[in-house]
Amino acid sequence: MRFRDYLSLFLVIILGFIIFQAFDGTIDNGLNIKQFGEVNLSERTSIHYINKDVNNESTQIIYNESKNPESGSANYVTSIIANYRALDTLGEITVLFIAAAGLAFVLGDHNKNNAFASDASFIVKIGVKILFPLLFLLGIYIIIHGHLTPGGGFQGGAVIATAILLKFLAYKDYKLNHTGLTILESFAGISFLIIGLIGLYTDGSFLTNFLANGTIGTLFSAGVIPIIYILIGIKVGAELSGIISNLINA
Amino acid sequence: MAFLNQWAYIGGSIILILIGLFGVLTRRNLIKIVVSIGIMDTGVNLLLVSLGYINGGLAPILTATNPTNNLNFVDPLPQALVLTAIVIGVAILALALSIVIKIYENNNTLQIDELRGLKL
Amino acid sequence: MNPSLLIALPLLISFTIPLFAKLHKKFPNILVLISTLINVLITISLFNTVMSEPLVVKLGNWNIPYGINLYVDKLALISLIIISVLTFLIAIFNLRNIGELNQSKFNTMFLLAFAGINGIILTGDIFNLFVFIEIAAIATYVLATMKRKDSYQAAFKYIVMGSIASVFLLMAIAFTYSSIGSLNMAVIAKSAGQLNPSLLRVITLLLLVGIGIEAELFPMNLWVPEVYSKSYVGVTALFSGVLSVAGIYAMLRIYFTIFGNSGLYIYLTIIGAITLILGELIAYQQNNIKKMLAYSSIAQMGLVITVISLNSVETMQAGLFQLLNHSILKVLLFISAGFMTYAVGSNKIKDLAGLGKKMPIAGLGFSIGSLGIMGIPFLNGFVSKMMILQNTLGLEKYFITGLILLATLIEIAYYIKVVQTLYFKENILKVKQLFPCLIPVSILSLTAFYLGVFPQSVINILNQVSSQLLDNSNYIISILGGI
Repeated sequence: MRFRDYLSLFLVIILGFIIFQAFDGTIDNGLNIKQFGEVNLSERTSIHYINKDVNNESTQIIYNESKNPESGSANYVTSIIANYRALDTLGEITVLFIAAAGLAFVLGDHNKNNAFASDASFIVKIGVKILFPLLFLLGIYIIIHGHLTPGGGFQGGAVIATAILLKFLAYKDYKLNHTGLTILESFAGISFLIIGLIGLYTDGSFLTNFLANGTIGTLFSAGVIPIIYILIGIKVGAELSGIISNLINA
Repeated sequence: MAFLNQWAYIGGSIILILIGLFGVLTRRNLIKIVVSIGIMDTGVNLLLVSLGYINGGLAPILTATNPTNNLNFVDPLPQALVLTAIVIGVAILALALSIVIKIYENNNTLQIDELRGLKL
Repeated sequence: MNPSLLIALPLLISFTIPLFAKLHKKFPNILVLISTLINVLITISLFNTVMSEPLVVKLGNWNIPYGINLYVDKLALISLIIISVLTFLIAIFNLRNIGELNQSKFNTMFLLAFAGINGIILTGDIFNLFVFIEIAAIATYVLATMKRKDSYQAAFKYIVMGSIASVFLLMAIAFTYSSIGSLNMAVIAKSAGQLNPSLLRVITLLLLVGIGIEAELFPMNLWVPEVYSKSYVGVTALFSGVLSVAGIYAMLRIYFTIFGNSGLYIYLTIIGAITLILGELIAYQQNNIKKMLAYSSIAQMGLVITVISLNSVETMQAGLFQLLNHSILKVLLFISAGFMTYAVGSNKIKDLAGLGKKMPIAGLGFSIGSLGIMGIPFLNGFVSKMMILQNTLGLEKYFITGLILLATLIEIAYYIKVVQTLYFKENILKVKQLFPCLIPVSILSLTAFYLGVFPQSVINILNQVSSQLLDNSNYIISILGGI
C-alpha cells in the first residue's frame, strides 16, 4: 500500500513538471499561452461575437436602440450558447438526459423507506411553505430573462430543482410523479430538435434562428433564444428533480 | 506579489487537478474516489475560465450602464464552454454515485481492497 | 440530404422511445431498427457528392470559423458507412428475446451512443468533439451496467478512467484555445506550425491520454477486459466494432490533420507495439471466451495504431484496411459467440464443445471470423495482413515486422484452439434452441469473403484517403477557402 502511494505521488509530480513545461513562454518560439489578464481580444474569435458581425458588416451595437442585429440577445454568453454554438447545447441536454435515465435504470425506483426517519420540525415545515413558491418564481424569472441578465436555462433549472429538494427535506413522504417528469423531459427535448429541424427546412441549415430579432434589451427579443431557454429550463428542472428523487428513495 | 497575481489562478487550478488525480489513484474508499473526480472537474473548469480574463474588463452583458459594444469586455467564449463542462461533470458524478450505491447494496463494503472486480 | 440529419434523427427518435415504451414489448427495438436503417440510407445517398469533393455544412448559417461546421470527406464517409451498417446488424441481433432486460432503457441508450459516435465523426470543431465523446462515453457507461450484479464494479472502473480522460481532454482544449484563439479544427491546423514546440508536445500528450481511452491504447485500456466480459453481447459488439472505429478516427484527425508532422509518432509506435504484444500474450491464457475476444480486440487496436504511426501512404492504407476488416470480423465473432454462450449458458471455452455441429450457422460464423483474423487466404484479413507485412518490410522496420509476425502466430494458436473445441470435441451440456441468427451472420460472412476476393475498389479509395490525411492542406483549403 505504501509503495503504491509513493509511486502515485512520483507519477503526479512528473506529470506536473510536464504540464508546467507548457508555460515556458519565450516569445521567439512561436505562439504561447497568454499571460493571465493580458489577452488581446482581437486575436480571438470572440471579438466577432462581441461586435455581432459574424455574417454582416459591423455596426454600432447600442443597448435599447439597435434594431434587428445579427443576434438579438444582450447577454453575450447566451448568444454564444443558444445561437452561435447551439450544437454544443444540444449535446449537453442529451448528456443530462442520459444521466437521468441511466440513474433511474440503475436505482430501479424502489420506493423503499426514505432516507429520513421522520418529518422535519415545525419551523422547517413552515419555512419551506413560505420559501417554495418564492424559489420557484425566482427560478422562472432567471430562465425567462436569460437573454437580458446573467442566467438562463441551466441556472434556472438548478434553482427549481433546489426548491423541490427543500420539499424533500421537510416532508418524509414527499413523492414525485415520475411518469409526469418523463413526459416533460421528452417533450422538451423533442421540441428543441423540432425547432432545429424547422430551421433546416426554412433556412437550409440545422439550428438557425428563424424568428425576428427585435431590439436589444427588451423582453420579446432575440428570436428563438428565449424559447430555447424555456425548454432547456423545463428539461433541466425536471431531470435534476428526478435525479434527487431517485437518490433519496433508493 | 506580481508572481502570485499572475500564477494564482492558472497555477492553482493545475495544482487542483493534480491533487484530484492523486486522490483517485491512492484512496481506498469508493466515495473518496468520487470526491476526487469532483475536485479534478472543479480544477479544469477554473483553468478554462481563467484563460479568458482581461485586466480591467467588464462582465460581457449589455446593460444600461454599459450600453455600447466598444467597451472592454471579458472573453465570453470560455464562460460558455465552462457551462457545458460543468453540466457534463455533474452528470458523470451522479452516475458514478448511483453505481456506488448499488455496489454497497450488493457487497456491503466500500473498500476497494475487498472488492474483487476493482483491483487495478 | 443534409448530414446534420445523421445526428438529429437518432436523437429525435431516442427521445420518443420512453414515451411509447408501454405500447408493445418489441416497439423500442423496431424504432432502433428504423433509425439505423434511415442512417444507412442517408449515408449511401451522400456517396456520390462526397466522392467528388468534401462536403462542408455550416450549422445555423454562421460563417465558417465563428460557428460550428460539419465536415464529410472520404475517410468520414467510409467510417460512417461501416458504423451505420454494423449498428444496423447489431440491432437485428438484439431482437432476440433477452428476458429480464429493460427493453426501453436499453434501446434508448443504444441509439444515443450511436448518435454520439456519428457526431464524433462528423464534427469539425474540437470542443464539439469533446461533447460528442462525452455523449458516447456516458451512454456506454449506462450500457455497461445493464447486466446488474457483477457489471457494477466493471462499470465503476470504466467511469473513473473516462472522467480522468475527459479532464485531460479539456486541459488540452484550454491550452489550444488560449494560444491559437479559435476552436475550429481548420484554423488550428493552419496555425499549428507556429506553436511553441514544448507547448505542442504537452498538448499532444494530453490529447493522447484523452482520446486513447476510446481507442483502447495501453495504459488506458485496463477497463476493457472487465467491461467486455461482464456485459451483454450486443453491447460488447458495439464497443469493439463501432466505438473503437470512432476512437481511431478521432486520433487520426488530431494527429494527422490538426497537429500533423509534429515528430511525435515514435510515442504512438511504442504504445501500439506494447498494446499489441501484451494483448496477444494475455489472450492466449484465457479460458473465458469473452475475455479472450476482448484481449484480442485490444491487440488489434495496438496493431492498427503501430502501423498507422509509421507515417507513409502505404502503411496508412494498410492500417485503415485492417481497421475496417477488424470491425466486420469482430462483430461477426461476438454475435456468433453470443448465440453459442446463450445456448449453453456458460462463458467458458471448454463448455462450447461440439456446438459446431449442433448450431451450424453460429459455428460457421465463428469459424469464418477466426480464419479472417488469423489471416487465411480468400478472406479480407489475409489481404490487409499481407499489405501490412509488405509495407513494414519495405520501410525496413524489421523489429516491428518481427513483432507483428510473432503476434500473428500467437493469435493463430488460440483461435485454432477454440475452433478445434467447437468441431472436434463432444458436447456434454444441454443446448437450448433459439430462433435462427441467419441475417447478421450471413451478411457479415459474405462481406468478409467479398472483400477478400475483390478488395481493389476499397483499396483505391483508401489510397486517396491516406494521401489526403498525410497532407492536410486539402482540409484547410476546403473549409477556409484558400490561404
